[in-house]
Amino acid sequence: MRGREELVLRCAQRRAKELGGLSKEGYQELLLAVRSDVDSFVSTASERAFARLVSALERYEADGEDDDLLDDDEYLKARKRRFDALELACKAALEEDPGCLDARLVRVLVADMDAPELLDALLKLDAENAERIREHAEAGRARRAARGSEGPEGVGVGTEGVAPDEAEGDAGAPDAWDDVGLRPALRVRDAAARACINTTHFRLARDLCSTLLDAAPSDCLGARHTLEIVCARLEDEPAFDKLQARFSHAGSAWSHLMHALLLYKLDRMGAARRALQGYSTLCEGGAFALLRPAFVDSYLPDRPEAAPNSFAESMMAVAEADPVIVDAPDFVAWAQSQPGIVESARRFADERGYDW
Amino acid sequence: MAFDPRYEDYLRSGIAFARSLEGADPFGAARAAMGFRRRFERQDDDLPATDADRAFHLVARAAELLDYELPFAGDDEVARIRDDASEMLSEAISLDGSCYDAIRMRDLLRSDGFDAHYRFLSDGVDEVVARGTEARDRALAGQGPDPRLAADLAMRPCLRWLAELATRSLVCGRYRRSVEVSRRLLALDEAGVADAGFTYAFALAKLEDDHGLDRLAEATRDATRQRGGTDPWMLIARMACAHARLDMQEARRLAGVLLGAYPHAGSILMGQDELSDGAFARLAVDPWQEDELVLAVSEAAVLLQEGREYECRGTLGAWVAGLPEVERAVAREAAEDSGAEGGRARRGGRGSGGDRGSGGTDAAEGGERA
Repeated sequence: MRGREELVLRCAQRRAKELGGLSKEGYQELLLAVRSDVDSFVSTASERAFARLVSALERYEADGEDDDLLDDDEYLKARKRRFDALELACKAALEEDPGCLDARLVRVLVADMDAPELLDALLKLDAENAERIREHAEAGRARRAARGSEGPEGVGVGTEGVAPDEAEGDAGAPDAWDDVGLRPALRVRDAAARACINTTHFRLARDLCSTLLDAAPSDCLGARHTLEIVCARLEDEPAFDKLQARFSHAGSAWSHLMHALLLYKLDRMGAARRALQGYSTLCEGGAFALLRPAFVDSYLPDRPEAAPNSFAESMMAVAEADPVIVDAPDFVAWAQSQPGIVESARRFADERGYDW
Repeated sequence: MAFDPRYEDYLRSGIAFARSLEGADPFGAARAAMGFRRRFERQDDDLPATDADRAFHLVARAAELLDYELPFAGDDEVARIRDDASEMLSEAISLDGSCYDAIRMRDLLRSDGFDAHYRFLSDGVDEVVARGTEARDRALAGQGPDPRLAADLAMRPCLRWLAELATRSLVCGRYRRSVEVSRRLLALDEAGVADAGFTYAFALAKLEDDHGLDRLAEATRDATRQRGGTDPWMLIARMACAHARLDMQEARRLAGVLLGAYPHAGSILMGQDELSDGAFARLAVDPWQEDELVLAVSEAAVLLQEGREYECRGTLGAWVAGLPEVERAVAREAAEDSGAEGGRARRGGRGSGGDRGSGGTDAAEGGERA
C-alpha cells in the first residue's frame, strides 16, 4: 500500500472540496503543496487515524528489513514484537476514528487467527461496504457491455491524481480505485478473496475478485492474480483465457505459474511443459521459488508492490498458490523432472548465494 | 454393488463349466452341476477353464492378498505378500496377454507416486475400452449358456480400469478428467456395477459444481432408490459444496443426515481414517451399510484434507470434526458400545464388538478422545 501517497490524496481531495470550484490545474497545484508537507494538512479525525496507521506500517516495514538474518526462533519473536506494535497503533488509530477501516483490517490480519476464523472476520468487514462495491461493479459491467468487449481493460487507468469532482464516491466514477475513500473497502475484499484460497472457497473467491475487477478495472490490488489461482484450481480455462485477454496478456509470476498448473491439471502435458518453461524463463527465480518455497508473511494490509515477473512476485505467487499447488500432489515433482528446471533453480541460488 | 473378485472368479468358472456340459445328457449335467460348487471350492484343477479364466483366477487370488490380507499384515509380511501377488499377476499376464486386471494391478505395484500410475491408466484406456466392448459384443452374439452374463463379465475389467482412472484422476488433482472418465464409465456400465457415481460426485464437489451434482443425482436416481438407505457419497459431496459456498446451515444439516443414518457416523466423521485403495477395485462392502460410510469418508480425504492446515486437518475436515453434534455423537457411540460390550460380557462374552470391520477401531479411538 502506498500509504503516504494515499494520505496526501485524502487530504488534497478534502481540501479541494472545502475550497470548491477548483480547476484541474488548481487541484494539481494543491496536490503538490500537500505532498510537500502532508502533516500540516492532516486535520480530520479520520485523516489523523489514517496517518497514525501509515506511520505504524512504515515502521513495521523498516523494523523487518533485517529479518532474513535471524534464525527461526528469533524471527518469530521479532515478528511477534512487530505485530504487537502494529496492534497498539491500530488501537490508537481506532480511538481517533472508530471507523478507520484500514486499522480494523490490519488488526484482524495481525491477530494470528486460524484460516477459517480469519476469513469470517474479513467477510464481516467486507459486508459493511458490499453495497457500494456492488454498485461500482454493476456500473463497470455496464460500461464493459456498452464497449461490447472482452478485450483489454487498458491497464493503468487507475490514477493517483484525480480531482474530487471526477472521482466522486458514486458508481459513476470510471474506476472505484479513484475514489480514495473506497480504497480501504477494496483492500478488505481483496484480503478476503485471498483468504478464500486458504479455506477452499473457490467460487466465493472468484465472485469477490470479479466484483473487484468490475468495480476497479485498473486492478491496483492485483485481484486478477487471486483469480488466476482460482481458475487453475477450478480448471476453468475459458475464464483464465478471458482474464489474460482482459489484461492484454501482461504476464506475471501468477499468470505464468497458474497457466502451467491449469494445463497440468487438464492433462495437456505438452502445453503444460511449455507453460512451465515460460514461467521459469520469464520469471526471475521462478524455478527456485517453486522448488524451494519460502515462508511469505501476511500482507499488511495488501500485496506488496513488485516488478512484473520479479523474484518477489515468484515468491508471492508460489506462497499464495500453495494450497492449490499441493492439491495436485505430483505437480512439483513433475516440474522438477522437466529439463532445465532444476538447473535454472540452482543457477539462481548460486547467483544470489541462497542455499540449494 | 462393487466388484467381488472371488465371486467373479466363481461366475467365470461356472460359465466355463456350463459350456462344457452342453450336449451332455440332461441327467448327467444336473448331477455334474451339483458337484460344481464343491469342486470350485476345492480348487479342482480338472475344472474346465480357458487361459483367460485361469489368468482371472490368479487375479482373484492376488486381489485377496493385496486388498484383504495386506492391510492387516505385519511389517515383516508386507514384502512377501506384495512379491507373491506380483508373481501371480505376471503369471496371469503370461497366460492371457490381455488380462487387463492383471496389467493394471501389476503397474500399481510397480509405480511410485500418484502420476505414474495415472499416466499408465490414461494411456491405456482407449485400447482397454475398445477390447472390452468387442469382447462384450462377441459374448452377446455367442451361443454360450448365458450370453448376457458372459457379456457382463467380459466388460468388467474395462469398467474397473475406467473406475480406477477416475479415482486416480481425482487424487492427482485432475477434476475435469475425473468427471469425463466417470461419465464414460457411467455410460458403459449398464448394470451399474462400478458405482461410477461416487467418484463422479467427489470430482464435482472439488469443482464446487452444485448443478452438476443435481444432474448426477437425477441420472443415478433409480439405482440409488433401488439400494434404499442413505447414500453417504452424495451427502458428503453436497456437504462439501454447501461448505464451499459458506452455506453452513445446509452443510450442518447434511452432516446431521449422516449422523442420523449410521450408528457410528460420529466416530467415523471424527476419525476420518484413510484406508489404502483396493488394488483390484474399491473394496466390496454391503451397500449403504456403515462400512460404506467408512469407505466414502476415506476416499473423501481429497475433500476433507484440502486447505491451509489447522488442527492437523484440512478446512472441511476440521470443520466436520469440530461440530458439536459430531462430538456428542462420538461420546454417545462410545457409551453405547461399552454398554453393549458389558451386556455381551454378562451373557457369556460372545463376540468382541469387532464385527463392523474397520469402523470398530475408529469408534474406540474416538471414544477415548471424547
